[in-house]
Amino acid sequence: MKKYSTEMYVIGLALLLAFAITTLNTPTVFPQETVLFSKAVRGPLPISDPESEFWTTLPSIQFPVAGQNITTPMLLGVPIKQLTVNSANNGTWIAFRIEWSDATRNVNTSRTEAFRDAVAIMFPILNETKPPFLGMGEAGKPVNVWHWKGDWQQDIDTGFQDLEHAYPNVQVDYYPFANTTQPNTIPPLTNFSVNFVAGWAANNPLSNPFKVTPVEDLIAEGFGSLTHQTHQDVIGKGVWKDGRWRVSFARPLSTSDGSDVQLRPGQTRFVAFAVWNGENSEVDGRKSISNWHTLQVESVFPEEGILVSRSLWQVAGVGGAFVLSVAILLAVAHDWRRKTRAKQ
Amino acid sequence: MPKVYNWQISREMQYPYDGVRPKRQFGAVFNINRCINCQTCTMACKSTWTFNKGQEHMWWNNVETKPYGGYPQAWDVKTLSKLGPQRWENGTYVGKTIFEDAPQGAMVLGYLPPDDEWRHPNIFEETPTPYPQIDGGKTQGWSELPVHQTFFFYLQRICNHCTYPACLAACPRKAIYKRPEDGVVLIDQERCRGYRKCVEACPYKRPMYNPATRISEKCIACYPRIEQGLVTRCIAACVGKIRLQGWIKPREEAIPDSPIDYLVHLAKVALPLYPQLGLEPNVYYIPPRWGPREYLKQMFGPGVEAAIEKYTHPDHELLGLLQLFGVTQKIIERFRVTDTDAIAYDKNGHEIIRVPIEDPVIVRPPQHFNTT
Ligand code: SF4
Ligand code: SF4
Ligand code: SF4
Repeated sequence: MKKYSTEMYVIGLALLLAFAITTLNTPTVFPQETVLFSKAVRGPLPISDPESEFWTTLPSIQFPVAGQNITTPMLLGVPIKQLTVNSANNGTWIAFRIEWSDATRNVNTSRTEAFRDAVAIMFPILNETKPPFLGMGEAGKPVNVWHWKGDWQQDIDTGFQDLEHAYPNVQVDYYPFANTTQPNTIPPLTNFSVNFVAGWAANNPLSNPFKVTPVEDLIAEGFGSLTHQTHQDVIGKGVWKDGRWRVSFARPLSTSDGSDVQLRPGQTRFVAFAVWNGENSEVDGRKSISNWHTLQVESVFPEEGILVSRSLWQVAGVGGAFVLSVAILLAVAHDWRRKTRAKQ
Repeated sequence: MPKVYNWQISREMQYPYDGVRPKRQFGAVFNINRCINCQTCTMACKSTWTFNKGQEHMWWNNVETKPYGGYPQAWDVKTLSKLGPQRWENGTYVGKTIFEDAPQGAMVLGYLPPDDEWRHPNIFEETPTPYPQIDGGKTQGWSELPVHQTFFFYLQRICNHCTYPACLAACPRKAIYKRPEDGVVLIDQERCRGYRKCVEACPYKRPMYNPATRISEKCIACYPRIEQGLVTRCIAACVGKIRLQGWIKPREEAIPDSPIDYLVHLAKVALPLYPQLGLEPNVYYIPPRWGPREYLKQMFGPGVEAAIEKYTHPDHELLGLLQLFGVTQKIIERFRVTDTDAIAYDKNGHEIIRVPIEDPVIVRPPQHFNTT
């Protein structure tokens, strides 16, 4: 038998390497880190209008996202996508708008094979110099995830998408313990019959047909530990038009919930993003993710920082104006909170 | 990935978690030879657990007619063809399990059946299948034993509460757990987020997606009944008395007077369903005597010939134990066979029931010949 030459081994090794590199997918983590500037503005933010002109007046940053391949289940073989993100804050609320192209609008999950479009923002809860593990935090280093879901948005826009949405001709004789006649839509059940809708009876937020916000406020300490928070503090809205999703998120900068990230004007924090394409059965770890980036929350009153160098009367004058503006701002924010609550 | 021992394939295999066996493992034996396909089991489960909105397509227990029946459609053929041809060698499976053949980036080799495959639990199955190649065409009639030239049989299916569940392995949230007290595998309805990884991973397709709650559900082995020492609804309701529930040990630790251990490990008359997939499923089947052997071997592994032989010519003890199928709602922990009777005991050693191995022949006296 002829022996293989060294060259053949080298070529073979090179081929093997090339094969491994091409099939093992490119690494998820992007080396470059980008700063997302949350611009300070006065007055209300167009929280429930992701299509507002307002967002185009803000600095916009493009974040590349790639298939998650740190842990199973992985998303392999999808092209790198881009999320365009803007942010603004008015000293009380912070808002984000994320935009990306997606040819299909997937907002119904009734069929076994149907998955939703979704997008999420992640913050480390602790304000440390290094971000935690990108895989949704780590033990002792929790992350706060704001997860917008296409199907929740649709439930809010058009009412709970019951069985009849996916199967218009569904016909059942009756459901025991349901106090309705045909077509037996889910929400009007008796208190007792709710016990037979297992997920709802177990208080699973995914099974609750009454949706208040399309954005779920979650906490996690690593893969698989994602948990719905008792206090839901994030609101938002997503609109799909002409092959693009535009989704807004908003939350008061600070909350009284220990499971939330607390943001302050003037602060710099880490932030990361993830996006799911329902059409490609993307769900759970099968998502495209960004690296950690920096979020810089601009202060509404940048002159605050240089006040000390001014003469006393100047300080008094600016101070008075400051107190007045804070009062106005609080009133505006209060009004906003009321309005957004009323909408839900 | 850790290695675990799977006695059904006589070797160690890869599994994402360490092989910790529960204190006791739920197990059952279904005797395919006696099933009449009445679907009473199916309705017993449906009317107990899956009668609400979003569960219309769910049959945690179903009985399908082989070879063409399948719920969801072609579930086994699809998984087997994904796995490709594999081999057993002298009772050891040398092929790949669904864990060992998982595609890159996934835990398990699986597929997600779309909703139309769940819709018709009994479609396409009324088709008897000629197997003229059996016996080289020597057998002429279609219903001659040992193998029918044209065959079908009923396959009764519930969740196997596997020792190495693929559903549990695939759930990235660890929302599926195996109870240490009885080995029952459950989906936590509070933690499940509807990812459907379990639906994709379970080769037996026992987790099902509920479109109304948007999360997955599965057979719960009627655990509230097990906790009271009662057999499950589908087992209690079985008209053909084909089912026996108890506890199963790994082969090396078999308890001779535990009914399931006896049937599976000692008599070796009951076999696991698709053991080559690597899950160590805990529902065992007495294979149908008339089924083509190659087909049955693919389904139940290499023990088929011996199991059918044993079932066809049972010894006295096996004959006795077979009488205890379907005679009580209580879980039989131990059994004993005397010359005349088979006796079942509960966990405290109290007698539950005693049945004669051969029913006495009672001749009606002449004056009652006409009474109806
Ligand atoms: S049969 Fe399927 S659902 Fe049941 S335990 Fe095994 S893998 Fe899980
Ligand atoms: S064990 Fe209980 S839940 Fe499971 S199939 Fe049988 S009746 Fe249904
Ligand atoms: S109730 Fe028993 S006999 Fe009837 S179909 Fe079910 S397993 Fe077969």
